[in-house]
Amino acid sequence: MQNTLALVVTTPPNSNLTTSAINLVHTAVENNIKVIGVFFYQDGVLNAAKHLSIPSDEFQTLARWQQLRKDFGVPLYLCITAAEKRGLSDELSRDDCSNIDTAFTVSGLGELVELTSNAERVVQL
Amino acid sequence: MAMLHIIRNSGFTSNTLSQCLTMCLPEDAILLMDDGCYNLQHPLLLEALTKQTAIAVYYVSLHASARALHNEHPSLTAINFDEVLKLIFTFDNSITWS
Amino acid sequence: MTELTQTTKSIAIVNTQAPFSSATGKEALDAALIFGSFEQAISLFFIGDGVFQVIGNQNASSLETKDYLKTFSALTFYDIENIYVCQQSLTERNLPANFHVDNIQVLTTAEFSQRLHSHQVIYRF
Repeated sequence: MQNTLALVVTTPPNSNLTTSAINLVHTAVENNIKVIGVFFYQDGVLNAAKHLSIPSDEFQTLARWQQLRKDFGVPLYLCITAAEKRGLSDELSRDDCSNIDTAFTVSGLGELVELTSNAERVVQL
Repeated sequence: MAMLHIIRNSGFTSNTLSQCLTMCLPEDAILLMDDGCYNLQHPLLLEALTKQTAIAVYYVSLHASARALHNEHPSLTAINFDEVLKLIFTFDNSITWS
Repeated sequence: MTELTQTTKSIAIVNTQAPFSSATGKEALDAALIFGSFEQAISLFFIGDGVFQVIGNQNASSLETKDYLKTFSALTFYDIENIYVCQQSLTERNLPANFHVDNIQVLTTAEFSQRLHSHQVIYRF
């Protein structure tokens, strides 16, 4: 039976701690562990900032999250309350008016309850 | 339940290591990740290894070697991310000290 | 929001930060109340500087911040009655057991640790 894992990410995109979280999710997928979701809370929500511009010779956090979403189907859930407090908004709902990357699903703490309940293991990073 | 304590910052700047050690029970394990690897030579951790021999301590070898950290103590086990995931599923629950 | 599909788990939220200089305490309480509103079995733990969150006679509004400490009174409304404070943390800080939150149980380090170990998922803030 496939093991299931949920992650809570609370570190910002310019932290090497976030790189570790991305690598752990990647390794989980490679090991046939089903990652049922990554929940972004506290400063972790900044990972969803669409206009994040990181110099090309530095670690591309956003591109790596997008890859986990698009290539491996890992759902990325954003706590919108925490996000709005940090300048992220989907208020106008049209993509060009949102500064949240489309790889991320706008959600709330209820999603954290769901993930916590459904995953065999939960890790906070 | 046996708990995996994930330490991600240095015990020299924060009290997470000492808090973690007060919460550890003999069947638990400690995993040093990221800046948590700086605790490989921390007196509190070394002291805990002599006192609580049952506590297993793991560290992410990549994170330690990137920081030029080494400790050949027999109670310390270097592991990779595949093994980190095995630990996560071996232990009943986990707490992240960061 | 979708219905929870699995049985509830016991969840611990561990508070380790003092209340005002960061949003951590408030974000931990927000999460606790959402878990409570979904009728999850949730316990709150206070250790280290986290004990400063529950000490009585504080005046947050004088600091031009929202007095989120008042929100702790909502815990009983959601039947969150397992609230534990570490005795050693109080002693180290020379604090009396005078709290603005009801139902607090002060535990020795050993009791606190054992109670924490009995939870299936642990979030630390």
